[in-house]
Amino acid sequence: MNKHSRLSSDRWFGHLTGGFAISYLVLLTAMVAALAGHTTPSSIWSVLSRPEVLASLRLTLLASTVATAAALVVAMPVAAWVTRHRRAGLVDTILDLPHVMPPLVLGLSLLVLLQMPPFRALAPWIVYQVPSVFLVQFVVAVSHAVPILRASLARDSGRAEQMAMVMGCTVASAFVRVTVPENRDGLIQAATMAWARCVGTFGPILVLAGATRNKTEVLSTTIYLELTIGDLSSAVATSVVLILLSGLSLATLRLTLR
Amino acid sequence: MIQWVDWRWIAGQHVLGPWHRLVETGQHVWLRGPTGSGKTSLLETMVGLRQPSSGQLRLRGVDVTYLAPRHRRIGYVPQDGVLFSKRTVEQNLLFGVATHGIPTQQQQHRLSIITEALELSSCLSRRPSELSGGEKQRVALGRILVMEPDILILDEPTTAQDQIMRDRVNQFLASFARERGVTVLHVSHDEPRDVDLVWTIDEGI
Repeated sequence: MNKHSRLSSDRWFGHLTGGFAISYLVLLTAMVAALAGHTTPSSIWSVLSRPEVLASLRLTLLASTVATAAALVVAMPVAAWVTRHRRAGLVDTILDLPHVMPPLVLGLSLLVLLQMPPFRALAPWIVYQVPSVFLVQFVVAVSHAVPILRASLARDSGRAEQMAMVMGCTVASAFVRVTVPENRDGLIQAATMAWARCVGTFGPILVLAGATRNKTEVLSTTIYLELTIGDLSSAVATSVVLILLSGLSLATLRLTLR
Repeated sequence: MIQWVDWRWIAGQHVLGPWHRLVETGQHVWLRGPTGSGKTSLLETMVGLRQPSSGQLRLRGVDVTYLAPRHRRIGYVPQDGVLFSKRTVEQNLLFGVATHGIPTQQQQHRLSIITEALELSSCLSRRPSELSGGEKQRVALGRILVMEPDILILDEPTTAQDQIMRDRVNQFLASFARERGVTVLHVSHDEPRDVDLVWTIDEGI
């Protein structure tokens, strides 16, 4: 077999992978297009001008942003600790739990935890109250930020942090002044993914916060509430807003990391 | 003064040593040996990045065996440079002096001497990813020299320089150390010049 025919015979693999990629992209685009085609800019505007939806949008953005910021403060040291302690097998499993847990179960476990001492004392201020939205989104944000930061820290040899210590830094200041900035791209990626997940979180919020209009309602629960009253066009319009928000955050990530 | 007493250190799977040596203040020691003989591991145990297997290390007459790296006050230039990738060259060069709280005016004075001597003046605002291998190595060296340490440990600091630049850097290093009475431990595969002691290390002996 000559070189040319060998190259030709290997092309099938490129066509196969390309075929899979294009099929999946078509499916995703069709899903979004179906939603977008089911609504109009005026429907979106009319939904967004309703006070309860505006309140829901405000709470969604505020809670997602605060929860993501708080989550990064926790996720970075957690990821650093796990990355540097290779025997952290049990810790690994516990950290992965929120990923394998069905979202409803995540909310349910928080609800049950808040019925137990000493957390029971906090329940009146959290359960079915606004702070529950922040709590759920914080847990969701940490669980999505940790794996991304772990991957980022695993690529970092730790040599820069060591050099900072030789040059006079304490372990803590070397971490803050060198390791954190050296992992800037990982932090941006973790923040964006965590924020996008927070914006779309539904199940655990429904369980722990309920879906009280003008109180604990977030965009995902708005969609649910609109569906329960049979207003499909409002549900679709809100879904498009949700997709636009998530898409915008992902596009910002791509631009920042370019 | 640097003194090793019954010093044993780990390199890969092996425990090397015992190493009994003394370097007087201001001496320039040239350390050489084949690749994999444990030179870098010896240096890293000295600066506190690795724990020794046993023994004692005394710097300036004080036992520093179990002190944190920052308390040893050693200027260490590793083989791979290890620049801070998100900082500019100037920020890299001033990192150590800023950490030690050296006044800004003094920082700038030292910076101008070092950047001129190491020919780094034109790349102060660049990031490490925009530098050549030789420039990166000179930044790694300059970053430590700006701190004016009294003990300097250099692990092949000029391998990426061309011959002319290598001679210039070595000349500057020699005059820098002589003027300030710096004790230097210099790992290199080059032929030693103007040094007080030449040690050959082979599997820790």
